[in-house]
Amino acid sequence: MSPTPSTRRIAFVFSSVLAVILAPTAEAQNGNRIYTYTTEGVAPVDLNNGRLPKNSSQTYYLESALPNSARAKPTPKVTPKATPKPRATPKPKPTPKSKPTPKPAKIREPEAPKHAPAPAQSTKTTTITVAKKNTSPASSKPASKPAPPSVDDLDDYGDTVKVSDPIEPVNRGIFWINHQLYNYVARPISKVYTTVLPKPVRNAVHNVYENIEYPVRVVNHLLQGQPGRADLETRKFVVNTVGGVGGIMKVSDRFPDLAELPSADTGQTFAKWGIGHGPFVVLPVIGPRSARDTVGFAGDMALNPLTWVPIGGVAQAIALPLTTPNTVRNLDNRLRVYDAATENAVDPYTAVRGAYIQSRDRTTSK
Amino acid sequence: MKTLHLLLSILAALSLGDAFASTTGDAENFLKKAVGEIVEVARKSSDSATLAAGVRPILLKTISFDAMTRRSVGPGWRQFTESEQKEAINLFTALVIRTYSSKFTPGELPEVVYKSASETAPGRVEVSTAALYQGSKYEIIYRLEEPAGKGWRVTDVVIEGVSIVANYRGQFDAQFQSGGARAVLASLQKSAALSK
Repeated sequence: MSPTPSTRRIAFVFSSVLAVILAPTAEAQNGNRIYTYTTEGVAPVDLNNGRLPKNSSQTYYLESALPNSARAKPTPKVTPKATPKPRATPKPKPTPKSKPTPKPAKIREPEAPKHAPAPAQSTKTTTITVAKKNTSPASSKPASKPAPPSVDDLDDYGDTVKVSDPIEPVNRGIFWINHQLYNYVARPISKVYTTVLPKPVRNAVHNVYENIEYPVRVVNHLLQGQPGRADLETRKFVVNTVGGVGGIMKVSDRFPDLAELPSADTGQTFAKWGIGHGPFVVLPVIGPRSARDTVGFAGDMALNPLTWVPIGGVAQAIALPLTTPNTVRNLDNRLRVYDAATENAVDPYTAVRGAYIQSRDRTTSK
Repeated sequence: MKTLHLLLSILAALSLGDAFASTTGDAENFLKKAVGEIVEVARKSSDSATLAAGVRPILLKTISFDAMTRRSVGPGWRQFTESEQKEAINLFTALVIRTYSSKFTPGELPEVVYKSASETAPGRVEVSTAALYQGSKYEIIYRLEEPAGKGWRVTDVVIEGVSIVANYRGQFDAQFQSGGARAVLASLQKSAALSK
């Protein structure tokens, strides 16, 4: 029985598909071998009867698909990291996550004419390997040109303070208003507070309120996956509440584990979850925050027992005297930090923004 | 033969360890000496002006203001003329000295604990300290470098995570983008005049 035209067509399609599927194996048998290509290097694959290993998650490349540099040395010791030039790598990146490759980084510009303003950063197109903060320039340059460690690495701090500020003009306006408020309202209040109350009393007030804010810290330690710290936080709370007479005395400072315990807040938890700063904002009265920390601040407020007082049925008239000292107790310290950032600044707004971001990055890295 | 190789490797590793220890130790000793001198000046000073005048020569020989200024400006530094660079270094030096000396109140002495020192790159050391001052505890990291043949110099001070150089870098970047070297110098002059 001779095959019908439709049967012939099906047979043709089937054989074509089969040919495509088997193509790598067939080519391998013809001398075009198959390799794995990872950051460890290029390694030939031993084919089992012309077939690839079963249940393998590896990505395989024909010799012809490998970059020239890799093909020239088909030994297992070829390291893609060795050359800083971008290479025509195959599209599926074989780099395992556990081995971070150098980040593309700040760009060293060709010299521009004297006095010309630098072009906007977004126009930078050429790249060199990353020169991270305070690392040797030698480590960021090709091995063929080892540079001695020097103090000339001008771009050491290029990536340190980066934050989006899309509403900068509005922020600057609120910053100016806040500046007046700090100088003409907060500073006199703080002055009266520090003059009227002696330091031991101020310390006691500070300790009591800090102790009350225990839920903010313990919940965030847990949300950050730090049960050990949550445990220490609870011990600290018990020690200060019982031994420190309701938290008036900070008895926990006598125990190094408790004294050195890092604080935790909701913005920090978001950061640990991998959420970035988001846009920078200056809130009226409160001051600088990133979008992430603004939401985090709302979370901290919700977790702070002082904000539960009206909910518990106590009249607002009682709640106010309870919460006001909590605001005033930190004024002196906050004003000191604000002054430190602004007093010798070239641009106080940028200085506060940079100091805020750096300070938060440090907190979240703990 | 294998034993000999092993012994040589161990010896090499040990001597390398000694070299690192010596580098960090030298840097830490240099810093301790400088901080000790500053604390001594703060102890003897009766007012802020005396204190600022007293710490100035110590800071000048301890801090590499040249490197700090260059890095605070960033790659744009190459577009400064030689005289602009000199002017920028002088103004920046004045600002940093004022910033540093304003942190001290005459007669009140900080208690400094040297926590650790580590070599972050060849010729670069970070010394981590904790300073107890006026009842508050501050974490201060000093970054030091040893340019060839010049001895150790402090190139940055990081107070509670805020780097002086990084902070000025953010400020100068904006100035430089808007008006180049002249804008940076103008902002420095304005700031120096305001703070006087």
